[in-house]
Amino acid sequence: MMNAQSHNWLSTILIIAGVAWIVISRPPDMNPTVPVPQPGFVAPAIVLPQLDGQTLSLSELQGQVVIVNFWASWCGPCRAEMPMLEQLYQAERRRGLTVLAVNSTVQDNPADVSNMQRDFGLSFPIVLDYDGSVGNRYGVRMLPTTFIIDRKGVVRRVLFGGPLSEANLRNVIEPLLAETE
Amino acid sequence: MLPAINIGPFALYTPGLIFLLGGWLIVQVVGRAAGVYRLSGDRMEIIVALALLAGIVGARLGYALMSWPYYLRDPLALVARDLQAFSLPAGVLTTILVGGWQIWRQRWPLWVTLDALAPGIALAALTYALAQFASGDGYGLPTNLPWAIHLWGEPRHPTQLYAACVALLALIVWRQSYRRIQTPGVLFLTICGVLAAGTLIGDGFRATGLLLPGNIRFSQVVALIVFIIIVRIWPKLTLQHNMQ
Repeated sequence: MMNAQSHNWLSTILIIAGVAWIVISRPPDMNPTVPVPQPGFVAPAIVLPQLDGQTLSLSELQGQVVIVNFWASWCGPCRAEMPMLEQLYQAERRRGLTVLAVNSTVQDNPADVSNMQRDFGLSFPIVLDYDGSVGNRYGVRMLPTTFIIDRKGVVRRVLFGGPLSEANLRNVIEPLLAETE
Repeated sequence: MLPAINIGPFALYTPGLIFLLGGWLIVQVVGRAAGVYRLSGDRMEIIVALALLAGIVGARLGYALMSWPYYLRDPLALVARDLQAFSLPAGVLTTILVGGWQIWRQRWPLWVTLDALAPGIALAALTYALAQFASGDGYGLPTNLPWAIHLWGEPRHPTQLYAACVALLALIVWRQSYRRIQTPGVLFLTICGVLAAGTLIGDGFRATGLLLPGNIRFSQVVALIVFIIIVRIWPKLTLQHNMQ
């Protein structure tokens, strides 16, 4: 059994060792340069055709807050959240918000995508991932999966599943909309 | 990293599944541990289950509170299927408050009760570490060590697995010691000490987490404080028990 003095010495040594380790193990300042679909990293590239055949790239949208939403026309939760995304897009596009809906066309078809765009009155850009390469690049394993990208092109949140609520999305995007480029 | 498990047409959110399974295991293990310490195992199971459920509600409410104007406009969003609309600190606080209140009502001896809860704390740490591993969160700093895992573009310290190993060690320590006759509270302090020391050391390799000025990790500071408190309390607890 330790006496009080030995115990005090032990506590002191542990404090010094603990503080020393905390200082030694401080992480370096890291700038997000590697394109990876994870918060804190630069968003991987998206260059895909739209329904009219025109190509749209994510880099063209730099300077805006982008909601990148991976979806399919047969996916129930995807369909359920589309009206909310359209409403949010209309309400906040002037503040620099845009929605980039990436259809997982490798497991869908353009006719159904076009019908859904018409039926839901979707006005934001919809691009078609014919071979699933962009979905793979973003590590999409479930639909819908939503990536929130800031004005500098950095991923800030990843939201799995749906349908997402407007309140939750606003909680994420409002601080980003308030950020200047 | 495995954020989703695909079973036929269904995609299940893996971290959520891990939390559910972990919660169930915690209830089972703590219930059995309570029996060893001559507390009512059935009652303990109900208390822990209620506390965990309250934690889920608290986590959602805590998240909503951070952005209450949006949830005020859309109250139904409180029950929406937003898988990430949860605040972990609010959830943990609610679990502790509700569980603590329920345990206080039982008038069980404090240190004996904490000894019974000790494996639950280790299991909770293990559950969290595995959920982070599945989601890819809590990732480590880049390294060239042979056991590095390739995550987010480069080989990194598998810090989620370090945390899981620390939690497993705590569980092994508990398993080896729980039937021994010892001062009430010592086993609880031992488990917490192992977890605190492991966090202090292991979080030194993390690339994520809240940073204080000077790039000091908040988690390491808390872990050091907890560890020192445990080291200071330990002899006082043993002495008090011996005098009784």
